[in-house]
Amino acid sequence: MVMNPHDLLKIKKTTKLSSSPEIPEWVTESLQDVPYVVVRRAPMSEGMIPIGVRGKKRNQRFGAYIAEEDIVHLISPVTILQKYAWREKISNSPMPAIKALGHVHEIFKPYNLLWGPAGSVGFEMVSKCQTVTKSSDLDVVVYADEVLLIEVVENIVNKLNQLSVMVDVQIETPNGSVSLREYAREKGPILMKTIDGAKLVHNPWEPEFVTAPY
Amino acid sequence: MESLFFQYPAKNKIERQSHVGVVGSGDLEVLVTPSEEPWVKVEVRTGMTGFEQTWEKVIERFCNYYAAQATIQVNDFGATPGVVSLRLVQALEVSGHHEIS
Repeated sequence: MVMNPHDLLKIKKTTKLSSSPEIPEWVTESLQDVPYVVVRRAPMSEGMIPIGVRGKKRNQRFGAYIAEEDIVHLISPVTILQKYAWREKISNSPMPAIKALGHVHEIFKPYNLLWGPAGSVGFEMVSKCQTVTKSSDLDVVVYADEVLLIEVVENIVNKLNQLSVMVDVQIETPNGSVSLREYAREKGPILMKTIDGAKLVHNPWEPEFVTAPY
Repeated sequence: MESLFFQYPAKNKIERQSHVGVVGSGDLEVLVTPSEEPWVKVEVRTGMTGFEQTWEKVIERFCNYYAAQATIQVNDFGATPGVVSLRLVQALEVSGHHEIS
C-alpha cells in the first residue's frame, strides 16, 4: 500500500498502537470513538507505519506506529474531493474553514492542480467527527511532481490572501513538503519537511540541503 | 497561549531585521531584531503547553552557537524541535550574522 503524509487511515478497533512513551488515556478513548489516524512524515519503524492521533483538544496530538494489517482503508486528501460530498458539506456547514474549500476550488481550477483538504477539515469530512472550529484554518495539500512556476504560485497566494479564512497550503514534492506562501515569497532558502526531518532548500524540486551548522 | 522567555549572553552583531516562517500548523514564525545589548533575548509564544524543557534545549543550543545580539520573537503553531531549529538558523541567515568568532 502506498502511503503519504496527510493520508487518513481508518483503523480496526482492535488496533494496538506501538509507542515508546506511554499511551495517554485520551488517545485510547478518542480512537474508540473515531478510529481514524493520519500518516505522519517519518520513516517506517520495523515495518510499522508512523501515524498521528488527534484528540478533541487542539493540543492533543500523539505520534505512534501501527501495523499495515490494522488499516481498514486509506483516504488521501485528493480522494476526499473525489468521493466525499464536499459541495454538500460546505453548503451545510457554518464553519468558515469548510466554506473556504469552495473558494480554494475556484482559485485552483485554472491551474489544473492535484490537491485536497488536510488538517481538521480533511479529518472532519472523512471521520464525520466535529473537529473544525470557528477559528480553524483550512489546511490544503497540493501535489506537484514538477516545478510550480513562481508566477502561478504568486497569483494563487494573492487570491488566497483575499479570503477571510487563513488557507495554509503545503506543496508536496517528490522530495518533501514546502509552504506555498514561503515558496512564493522567499528569495533565500526555504524550509522543506522531509521524511528525515526539516531541511533548508533553495529549489524544492532539486534540493541541495542546507543543514543547521550545529 | 503560553509565553516563555529566555536570555543568554551574546557578542556577535547582526545586520538587519528578519522575518521568516509561516503562520500555519506544524510551523512557526521567527522575527529577529538586531540589538546593541550584549544579550540575545527570546520570547516564545505557543499554544502547546508543557514543552518548556524542550524549548529551553532548542533555544539554548541556538543562542550559544550564534551568540547573536538580538531580540527574537517566536510565534509557534505546534512545530517540531527540528523545524524550530532550522527556522532560527534561517532567520539568522537572512539577518546577516557575521562569522562565528
